[in-house]
Amino acid sequence: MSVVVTGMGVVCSIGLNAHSFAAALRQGCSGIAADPWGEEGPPFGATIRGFTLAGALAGRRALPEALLKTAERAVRRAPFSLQVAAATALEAWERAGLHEVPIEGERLAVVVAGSNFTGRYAESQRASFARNPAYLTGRFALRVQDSDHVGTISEILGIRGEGFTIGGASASGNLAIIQASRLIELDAVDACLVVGALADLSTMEMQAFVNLGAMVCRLPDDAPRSAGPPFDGTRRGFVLGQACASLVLESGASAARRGARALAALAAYAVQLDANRLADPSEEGEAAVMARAIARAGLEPHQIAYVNAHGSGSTLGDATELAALRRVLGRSFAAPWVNSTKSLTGHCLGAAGVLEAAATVTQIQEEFVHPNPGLEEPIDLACRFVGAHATSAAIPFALSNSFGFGGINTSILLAHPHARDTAS
Amino acid sequence: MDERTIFEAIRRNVLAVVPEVAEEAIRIDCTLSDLGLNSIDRAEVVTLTMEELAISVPVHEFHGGATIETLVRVMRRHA
Repeated sequence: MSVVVTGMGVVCSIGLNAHSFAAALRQGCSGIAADPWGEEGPPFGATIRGFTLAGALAGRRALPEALLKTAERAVRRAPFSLQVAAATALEAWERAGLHEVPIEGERLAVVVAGSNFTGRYAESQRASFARNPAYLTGRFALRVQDSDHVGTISEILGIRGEGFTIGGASASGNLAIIQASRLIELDAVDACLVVGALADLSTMEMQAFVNLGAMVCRLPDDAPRSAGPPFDGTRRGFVLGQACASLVLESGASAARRGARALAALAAYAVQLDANRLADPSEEGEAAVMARAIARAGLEPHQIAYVNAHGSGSTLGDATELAALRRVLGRSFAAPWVNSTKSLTGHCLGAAGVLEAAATVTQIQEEFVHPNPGLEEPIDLACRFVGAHATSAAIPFALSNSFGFGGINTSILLAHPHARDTAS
Repeated sequence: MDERTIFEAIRRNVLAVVPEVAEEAIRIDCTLSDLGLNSIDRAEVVTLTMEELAISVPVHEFHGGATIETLVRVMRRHA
């Protein structure tokens, strides 16, 4: 059974909707700025700026007034992560035309990617609790459970099939796409909304990533003021990004029945664990999932035109991913374009896989590959990294990788909706 | 603390939590449910009001279906 992408919504540091996100990708706009959380936080971050719920809802003019009102009531007092989730879900819904040619609620699912969405919100409630435990709002009990995203989004959109959150550290987004695809393949539903939720980290969570050596740290004042882009010799850890992205995955038959345009097809995917609880990447595990995705799609390595790398800016992680890619592609190593969307958006953790799938679908649709700004000293000269400017490229087949702490390797293979027509 | 002050705080917080409630509909003899507040909204109004007025009422003293007047009296006892 074919599974296609029919809708897409984005809120991130470089775009407050999928349209502006696409333009920013093409221009290579970076959302990374210095000290977005003040001098107490990490030195760089890619935060969402200018988002308001009212603005986001006003942008969804095609949707029925009653639906927008329901959404407004459901999330107006909600934590930031849930507000941006509602905004991207509505955008994806609109793009898929689910308000015009609906699918019955029992045949719709929602899968939310990521864990621990509300660290900052929880931190903000501590003052009331400290004053008097009685002043902690009972709503906190619902809000701090990530499944609040499932309940709220299902209520807004009338989704009555299956729903759950799925956690796999930085691989959560791809895992959610994969589980959504399986629900459709099993014929449990006709379509599934996948939401890559924003993890709004507390100051403690951010500092822990710095202390672990994973997130870019503060250097003495006289050091160069750069985060060091992914795959560059100067990289020194990931830059935290804020994002939420939603996709509508749908069976090809349902999309055809509804007259919904397929933006891309999910041709294959693979997941493999390293049996490792640490933050160590594994060339073997990463190579295995890419190779299996290519084989399951019935393709040869040379047919991959583009790789949206995990590429977080981790010293060891980036080198490991290139070694894995070299192992999988062999003589075709230099064939596909390679970029890291994290060079523009920062690392959006559990949302990254969904955001990067949206970036990949955009590039497949609009036939370009986005730049890797600042990549001046690539660590591998044979790899075909996109340079400082976007390049035109036809992309029949693309891989998008996401690797998570705890040895969670995932790769998804996205195809142009007409790729099979030209490939066969 | 007089009952008027507590009532005004409840009214303010009802409007903060559910802005579409008509202000004139918030009367001393109606319940928060009558105004269309769900269970979570009701709990939030009570918590916000207690914090604003620095009152602490044990949870077990609140009963379902209480009118705003009853809420005011319970809070006043602990003010």
